[in-house]
Amino acid sequence: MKKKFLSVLLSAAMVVSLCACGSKTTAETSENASTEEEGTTTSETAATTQTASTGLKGHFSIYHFHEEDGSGTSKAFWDAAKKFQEANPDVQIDYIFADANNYQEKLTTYMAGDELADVWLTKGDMLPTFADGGLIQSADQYISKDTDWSSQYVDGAFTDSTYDDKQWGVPFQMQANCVGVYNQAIFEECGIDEWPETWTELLADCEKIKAAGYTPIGMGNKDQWLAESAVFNTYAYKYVDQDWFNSLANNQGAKFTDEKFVKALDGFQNIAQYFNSDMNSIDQDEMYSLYYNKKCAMFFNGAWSIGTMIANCPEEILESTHVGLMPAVEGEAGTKFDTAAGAGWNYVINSKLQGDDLTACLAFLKAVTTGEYADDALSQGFISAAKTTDACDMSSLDPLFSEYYELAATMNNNSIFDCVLPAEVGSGVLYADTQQLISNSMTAEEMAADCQSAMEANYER
Amino acid sequence: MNIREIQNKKQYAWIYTLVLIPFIYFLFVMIVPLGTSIYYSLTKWKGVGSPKFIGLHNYITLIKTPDFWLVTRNTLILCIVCTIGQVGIALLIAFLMTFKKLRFKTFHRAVIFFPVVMAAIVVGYVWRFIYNSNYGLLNTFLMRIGKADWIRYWLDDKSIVLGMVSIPVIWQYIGLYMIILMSAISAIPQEVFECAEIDGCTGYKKSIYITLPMIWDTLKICIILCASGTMKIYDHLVALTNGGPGRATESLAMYCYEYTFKFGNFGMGAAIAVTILIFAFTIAGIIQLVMGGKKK
Repeated sequence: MKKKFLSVLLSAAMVVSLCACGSKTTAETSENASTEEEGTTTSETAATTQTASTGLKGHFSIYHFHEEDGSGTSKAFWDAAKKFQEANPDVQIDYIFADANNYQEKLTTYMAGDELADVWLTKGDMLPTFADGGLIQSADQYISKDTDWSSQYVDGAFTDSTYDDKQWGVPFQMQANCVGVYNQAIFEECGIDEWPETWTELLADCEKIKAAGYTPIGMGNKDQWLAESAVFNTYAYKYVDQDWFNSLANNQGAKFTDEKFVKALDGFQNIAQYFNSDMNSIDQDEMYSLYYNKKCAMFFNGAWSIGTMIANCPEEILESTHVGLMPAVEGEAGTKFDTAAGAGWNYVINSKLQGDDLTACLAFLKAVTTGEYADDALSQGFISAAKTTDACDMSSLDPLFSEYYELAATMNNNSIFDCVLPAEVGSGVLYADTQQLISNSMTAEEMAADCQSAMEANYER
Repeated sequence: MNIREIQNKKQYAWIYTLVLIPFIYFLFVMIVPLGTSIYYSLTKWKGVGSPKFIGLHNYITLIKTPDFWLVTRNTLILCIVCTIGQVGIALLIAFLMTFKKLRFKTFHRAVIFFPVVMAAIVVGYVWRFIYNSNYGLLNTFLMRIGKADWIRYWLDDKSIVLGMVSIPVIWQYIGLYMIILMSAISAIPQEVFECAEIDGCTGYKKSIYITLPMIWDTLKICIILCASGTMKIYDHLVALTNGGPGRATESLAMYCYEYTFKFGNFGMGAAIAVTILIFAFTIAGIIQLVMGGKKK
């Protein structure tokens, strides 16, 4: 009898566990269905002219990577989001957070499972998939109707979110993917007076620094993106230009195997001799450690590293830390101002979002990308995609960030390769091959041929 | 209730109902996903809309991709090295544990088994610190013993990196196979050893001619488990090298993950997953074939 009772109990437990697995799906499906039903009843007019206190109501979810206790744009985002919610208590927002390192993978999973949020962040390389699949609605149809909103963005803010002549996303940042960060004290110790203007000067300076026993350029490329996206990408623009890249991306004649691009790869392989030897086994944070510990004299990385320096760099090192543009290569068309930069990530809106929910969502997106958000982001050491307001106090900026801010104003922004090219090429072959290139296990010609082959496979698809 | 107690159809129905529940569970957790994976591997699907049937195109593309063969080679090398390392060393230790003169056996067993309970990602990060060229334990040790010329960039040197990443994997799982083999050894009747000793078979001869044949089936299972487990190797490699430099330490599982979740190419990702399954089955079959008749 006891055995029988036990077996009934065990089988009941198993059945319950099976049912529990299924019930979540049912609940989510009904939630989606109810969202769709709601959407059919209200107008699509973008009431974006409403300010954040005019009795908005609605409910939407947002999938993002802004850490609640983070710095930079994350802090600015949360400041703006909290203000918005205080002013609009009837708007219910479900925040779905994922760590930046795992964000893309989770997004792909949500997409495959048809469980995308109402708003999410995406890079340009995913836009064709979302747009062609009818998963998102273009943002420009709403932004352009609200001149107060559209007039707030800086030039080029929508470049990375443009596909098929439509602007699909709402940008929130404009940052350089490459800026040189250097220790002035080490430079002076090695007899270098100023940041190099040309590539030849940079190579000569690296020799002096190496002779003094320092690693000239820090590199932490374990995760594969840093060397390609944050350094080589900008270096390539010393040889090629935006038109060449557009032609490559759209299969209009330019190739990775073009002589000028191969020359860029060759030049980059040459500078790698001045990186730390464990460049491919340490990550970005360990690279920062090299800099904090005065083991390397400089590094190139995206503008996000300025905020990290301000927050984490030992005071003594921070005092002698300055920033500079990547020098131009003599004899090549690119200038030192040519930099891979842009919005990178953008908020996109689910095509299923309609009515009051959509209206509330648009008002929210306006609040977390423009106005006070821009001032706040700047005070956090980040340049937003929107213009700052007149109330912004520029004198309160950190000296290092002020230096970068002045440099950023002179930059000639060019597309970021891995934000535009198909992921198989941009974050696949280009990343992996750059790692091999800088460790001298692949030649420039081999890498160019490999990238071109991957690109052609994507054209065919 | 055992089989002799079944007396009527009602009892049969009850038993089959109980068996049916785990069978349905297994069907939906293992068989159905496997079936859908095979289906998706024959389609072009970016995660949006309906998958488009393209036959064997994904497999043909894979075969033509040099990177696929590179990661397959990496995986097979790791599979062979780790199997020999893990099961081989575990077997030696299990033999040693049978020696009467060995002291503190429980302590040795606990220490060797300890890494098994650690998460693979933690093991990866621990060994990354050991290998670190600036402050790593290994290079510091070599420096201290005056062998500075032996210092290498362990995870950056393409010629040695695959060997270096296999060491933590071997280190972690020796304990698991040691325990399995030790339990097999302990199941051998003591009389067999006593008879052998009377006949003059002692020391390593006892291990080779008595213990090894008696645990042959368990050893075979250990090798199959180890080889098929290493075919899925992922966490250690992500923590140690993230597959680099280039793709020098990338495994098939990482390649599959990359295509599926980074590139959003679910069709190709499924094709790689099915390929891993085929390789694992083939390896298990070969091991079965090679080791199968030995017992007789």
